[in-house]
Amino acid sequence: MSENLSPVTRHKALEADWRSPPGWRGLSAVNHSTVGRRFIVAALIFFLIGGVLAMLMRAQLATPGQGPFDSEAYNQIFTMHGTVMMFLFAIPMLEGFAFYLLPKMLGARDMAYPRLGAYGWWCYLFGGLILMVGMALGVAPNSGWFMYTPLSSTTYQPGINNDIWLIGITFAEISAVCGAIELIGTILKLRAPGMSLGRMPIFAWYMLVTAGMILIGFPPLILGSILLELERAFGMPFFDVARGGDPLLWQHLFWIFGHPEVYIIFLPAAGMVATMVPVFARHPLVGYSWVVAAVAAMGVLSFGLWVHHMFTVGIPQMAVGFFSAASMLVAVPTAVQFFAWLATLWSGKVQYRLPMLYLGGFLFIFVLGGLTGVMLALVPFNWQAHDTHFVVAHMHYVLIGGMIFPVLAATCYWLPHFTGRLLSERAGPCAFWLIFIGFNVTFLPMHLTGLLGMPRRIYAYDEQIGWDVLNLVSSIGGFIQTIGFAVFLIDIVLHLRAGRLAPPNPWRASTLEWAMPTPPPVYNFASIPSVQGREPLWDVPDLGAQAAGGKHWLAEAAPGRRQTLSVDVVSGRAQSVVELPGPTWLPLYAALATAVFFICVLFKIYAVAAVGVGIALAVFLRWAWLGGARQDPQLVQAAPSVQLPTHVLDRGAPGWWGMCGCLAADAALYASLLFGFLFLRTMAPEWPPAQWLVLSPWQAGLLALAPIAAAFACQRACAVNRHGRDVQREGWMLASAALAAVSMALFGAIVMALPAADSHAYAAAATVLAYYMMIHTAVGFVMALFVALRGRAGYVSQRRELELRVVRLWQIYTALAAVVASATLFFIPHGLPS
Amino acid sequence: MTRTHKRDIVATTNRSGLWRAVAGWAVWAVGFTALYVAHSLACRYVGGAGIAPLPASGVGVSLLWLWAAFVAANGVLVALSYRRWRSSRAASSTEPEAGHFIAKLVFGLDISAMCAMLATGIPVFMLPACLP
Repeated sequence: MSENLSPVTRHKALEADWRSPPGWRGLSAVNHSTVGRRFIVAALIFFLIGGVLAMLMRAQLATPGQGPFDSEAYNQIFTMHGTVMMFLFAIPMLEGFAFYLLPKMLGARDMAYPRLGAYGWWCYLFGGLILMVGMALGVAPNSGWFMYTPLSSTTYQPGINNDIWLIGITFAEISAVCGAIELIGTILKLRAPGMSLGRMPIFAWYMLVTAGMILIGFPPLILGSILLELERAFGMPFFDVARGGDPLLWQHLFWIFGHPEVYIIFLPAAGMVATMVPVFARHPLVGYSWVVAAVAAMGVLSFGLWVHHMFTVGIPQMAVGFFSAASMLVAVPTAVQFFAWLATLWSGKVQYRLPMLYLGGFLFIFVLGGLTGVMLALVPFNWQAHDTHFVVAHMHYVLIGGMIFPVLAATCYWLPHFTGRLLSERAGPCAFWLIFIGFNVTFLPMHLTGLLGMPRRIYAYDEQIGWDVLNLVSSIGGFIQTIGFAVFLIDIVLHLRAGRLAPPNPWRASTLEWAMPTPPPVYNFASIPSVQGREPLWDVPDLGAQAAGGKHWLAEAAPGRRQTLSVDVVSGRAQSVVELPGPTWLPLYAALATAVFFICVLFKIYAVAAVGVGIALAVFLRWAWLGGARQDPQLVQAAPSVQLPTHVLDRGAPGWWGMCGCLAADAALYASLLFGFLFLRTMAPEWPPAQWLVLSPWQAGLLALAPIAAAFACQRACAVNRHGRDVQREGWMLASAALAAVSMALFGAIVMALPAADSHAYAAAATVLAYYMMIHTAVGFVMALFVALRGRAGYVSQRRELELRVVRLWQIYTALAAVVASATLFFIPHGLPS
Repeated sequence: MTRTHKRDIVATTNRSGLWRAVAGWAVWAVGFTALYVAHSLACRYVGGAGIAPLPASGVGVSLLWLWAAFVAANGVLVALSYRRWRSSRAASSTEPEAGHFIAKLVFGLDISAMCAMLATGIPVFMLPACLP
């Protein structure tokens, strides 16, 4: 659309705007390719650590009798193996791929919130390092990767080990939630013009569902970790039966996270499969719409399975039946995807290249894992196989089959995009067969040892039981697998120098990430391509050349600005031009301040922890202050005949969607807290408590009224702003801040009036509920005050109302949460029989 | 590009499509939770342990009604989305592609959610309500 600049001049101009600083200052980079690569490399290192731990376990169990480790060391090893693989490898690796690939696939120059992505990476790194340092010092967590209470409570584990797990994992999970918000905002808003929902790359659909699942699935574990840490640090008895708690609450909170977690790991990998299969079949994905429906259905269904991890805890049979039914149901959407992939292969002309080997391995192994999953969904079988090596075998067939093999295929497939070189077609198959054979030799026998009764997590077994040969075979398989991974890694290292140069679009793929040179320029697209179909590069083979030649959107140079397009969510119609931030140290500073908080909580230095919170808040406010514009920006010439506003004038700007995502995660945490409170109230044995806090109806009403008034004031600020009344707007925002402060004081009074939080689970839960509201009203106070100041500084106007709308969302959510909180505090003593 | 713009502007009127797409499974999620919670609370406070199976059990019959209500809600959504999908198919020459895709997606999600709701209720027929 703009051909005034030569491609080289345009490249230089864009490179100047988008490049990251060289050397150590590159740590301030926020570009999605850099952050994505950081995630992948860090996750790979954690994978190697987790792999070494796995080998130590196999060495221990290879022969009967006492192995090289005592029980305490072995407990730490298996706990860290599960923790590292689940939290520090699987999710971050997939997020890394998504960060790197999605903007390129969607036709964007970066992700929606680059600084948030960088902050998430630092949080992940620091959280992981806390765990690693703990392990290096011999105080690694030791109660299993699911941290069951009461084993993980101070009564049985008084040391710092499990605190390290609770703090480190919560810290790392902030990263996953940040990543999910970033992914949702990017997928919904930053796409190429013309890329309607029905034309999105299938990987984007998988990641959209996965990110939604992270937002809903991770907060229950974050809450559980907070509650367990509160119990361990302050004696608040959420899981202590004698004082009104219940250990089953932990299991519920953990598995409400834990089961969807399996699908959170599987779905992105399946998205990679669904992207690669059509490429090698030379045929579009069969049943695209039905695959999308199946993925969405799977995402929801996966939240209805968590109790199948708890079939043996004594839940009534009918309730168990509900979860058994849901557990079997989930096989249906899985099968829809499998049949779609098989039909695609059947309909096309399959090219047997290296990634297809791993895809074949995935299809074989994951089906086996899925079948044993259906077996475990059957209650009587589950009772027999529960906590045996059969479950270990099933889990590894699902996770290695469902995640590792697709990721290996994806590495072979996309590595030329990262490095511009192809992997060896000789070493690649060798690595595949070693991994494939090694995997099956390791885990197939575990089905048998499990059926013979070998429990999980034992560090030694007797020679007479008959498990020795099978365990030895498993261990040999484990080492074969390790050799396979070593060959794979050596191949990657060697290919950096000796790999054959990859031609453009080496697999003749249809997705937009191949419409650029490889390795890609930092800005991805010299002009953002217009998309007319689901397979853009098959529809228009020279689309890449057209984009490089400036024949599409945003081809004009915009010195000093990082621009990309924002589109309508459904239709993909271009809506506004988003101006993104460049390199900054703020994400690192914010993560360091967050680290100060978590580390001080770990060592129980709470005064300094509060300082960490204060510094983090200051950095975040600085971060927020740097955005926006003091004057209404002019329209941007996005294409020769199209002028678009910048995002600050767009009602559906990415920032608004980001706040929606944040509140969704917040609401999931709140719902988990309410569930926990009601669960204890109705199911825990030692109730009622000796003392209630009995609120009168007007007291409960007053608690809810102040946040409602704060939300109303914010709403009025938005309304008067639309009429251009700046002074009134500031007045209403200040009123909103003042009312939020009043709300905070009222909930503070509730905390003071409650019985001691360590006396009974009721007092503990009510205290946490009141603190939850205090934190929200405090944030509402800061946000309202901040936007009032921003308005005074000229960042808000009749047309630039995005910040007002974001604060209004927060205040409305807080008001709704306050209504529910006051109703809960009122009805818990009154409403239910004991 | 002009033609594409016109088509897409029409598709923008379909903005609620994404929220509507998750309605069927949201009903399933609420229904599933309601059945689980109602069953747990009823057996805790009303039924007691090991009471008689269906149809004598009040708890069981109540759960049956609850389940039927959610199946009906899912059924209504299926009927609505089927009608919309059919009309979007009929108008496929003029309907923007995004709108047709969303209509098909909504129907697929609604019908799968209804099937899931039906299957979720099977234990209500098969098992005594409060058997521990």
